[in-house]
Amino acid sequence: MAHQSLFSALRHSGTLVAALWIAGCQFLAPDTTTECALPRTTNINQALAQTRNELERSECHLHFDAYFERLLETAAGDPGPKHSEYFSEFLLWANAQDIITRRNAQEYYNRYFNTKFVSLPDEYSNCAYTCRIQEEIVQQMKEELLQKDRGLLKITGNNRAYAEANSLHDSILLLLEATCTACAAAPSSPPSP
Amino acid sequence: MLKNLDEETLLLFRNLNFVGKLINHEGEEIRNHSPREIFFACGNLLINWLAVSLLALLSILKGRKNNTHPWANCKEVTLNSKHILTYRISKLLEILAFPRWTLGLLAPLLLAWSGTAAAGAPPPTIRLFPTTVVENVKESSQVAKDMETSLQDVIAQLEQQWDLYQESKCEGNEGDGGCAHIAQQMGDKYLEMLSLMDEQLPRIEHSVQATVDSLENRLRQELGQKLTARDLQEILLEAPPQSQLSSPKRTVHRRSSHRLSERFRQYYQLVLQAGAQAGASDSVALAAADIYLDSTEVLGLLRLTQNEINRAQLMIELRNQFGAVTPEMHEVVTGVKKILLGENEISTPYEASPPTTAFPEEYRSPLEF
Repeated sequence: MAHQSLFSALRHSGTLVAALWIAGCQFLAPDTTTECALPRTTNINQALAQTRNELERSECHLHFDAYFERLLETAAGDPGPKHSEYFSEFLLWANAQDIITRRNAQEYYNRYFNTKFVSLPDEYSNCAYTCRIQEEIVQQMKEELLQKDRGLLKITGNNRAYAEANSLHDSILLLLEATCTACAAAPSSPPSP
Repeated sequence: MLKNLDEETLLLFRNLNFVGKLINHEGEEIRNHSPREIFFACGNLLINWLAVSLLALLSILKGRKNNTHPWANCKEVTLNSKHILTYRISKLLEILAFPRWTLGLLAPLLLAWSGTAAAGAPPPTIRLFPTTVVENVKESSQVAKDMETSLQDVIAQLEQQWDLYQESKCEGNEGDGGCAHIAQQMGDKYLEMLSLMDEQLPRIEHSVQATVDSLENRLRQELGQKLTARDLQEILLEAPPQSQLSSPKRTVHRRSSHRLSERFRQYYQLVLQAGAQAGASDSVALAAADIYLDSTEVLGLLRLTQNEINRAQLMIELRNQFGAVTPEMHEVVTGVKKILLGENEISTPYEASPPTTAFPEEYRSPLEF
């Protein structure tokens, strides 16, 4: 009798331990199915579809920049004039899904696919603010021109738009140089009417 | 109940003014009134307009029937002087009544116009080339041209003498009488050139300085203090792409070796062209920037040249070497030729023309700025 009760107790405790161990494993073991994988296709439409699938999981939202970069690389390998439209739709979708804000979506799009420059500040006047960080602005515009080279030239093949952006870049820098030189110069004579 | 035409018109004006302020976002009016009140004000305006139109129409019909409307056929009436005065005053009042009812009909159009004007407010007008700046640029060109004309002969003679000196193999043979005579002549001519420049450079410097000062002030006020960096971009994008990029007139020569007077003459033409094009703020702004930066550079060169002239004159006086031709003299003459007369005309357009291949589809995203 004692032997049977001991065996029964051992069996129950073993069952209990096993149950606890299995339950614990549910919390501790990594779940490989939730890993955020970047798209690995060379076709932009498939890459966009895969990215949308991945980004539907909230844990992948933090990797949005990496996904966008991968999409740019994929699009550059498969250039076409409609790619700007695809990217616009993707960014609008991302904003609708609350992955990125509207302002972020605008910035992403305009950096790569618009001739206008987003690096230019818009809060304060040139003399009060822009001219104090002129070198920084020049550097940012240079970087943005490279991004437009990627988006307008390499991805969509829009030579004309890139030429416009390039010309606008030079004109803005010329205008900024003259304006900041004028701001920095102290008036040595009474201002002319 | 409809009131008379005058009272309705006055009420119309009041409502128009109120709604106009709302459209133009004058804060006081908005803060002091609730949305419900604003809605009813717009409704009242519409009713006012209908009332004024109706009353005006009725007065016209009534006037025509009684033949007292200004547009009615004039009849000759024989009156005494007092009656003529009264008649003329009443006619005047009738004529003045004319604008009231037309204004009632035009009020909605005015309202729509003010609304669209506020909603799509045009960018600020920038005035970078008032008359003083244009005149300064013109004067700079003229002064530079005067100096070039006076120096051209002297420099040509000096070059001839230098060529003769070289051909006569006078270098290293200064003891020879003929070579000494040539050297003496070159020294005299060189001094003459320096004196001419010493007289005229201050005039040019003064003129260019005036151009720089006035442009600097306008740039600082119009572009530096009133606008942000993003606004500068918008100014450049105002013109349609064709006029901005494909026009050959937009090619400006920076750091070129044109004659000084020719450079300022081109600036003057650029300013006139930029001002003549309607809505060409981008051309005006770029022209102003280009002229300002180039003029600043020219001013620096002129000051350097003035310093070199003073130094050369002093060296000649100290050494008392009127007859000696030094390599420095030749360098100075070469430098003067480059700055004032221009050499090796190389134009460097800073704006490349875009490729002419058409892009098949111009997609406009809702995310575009």
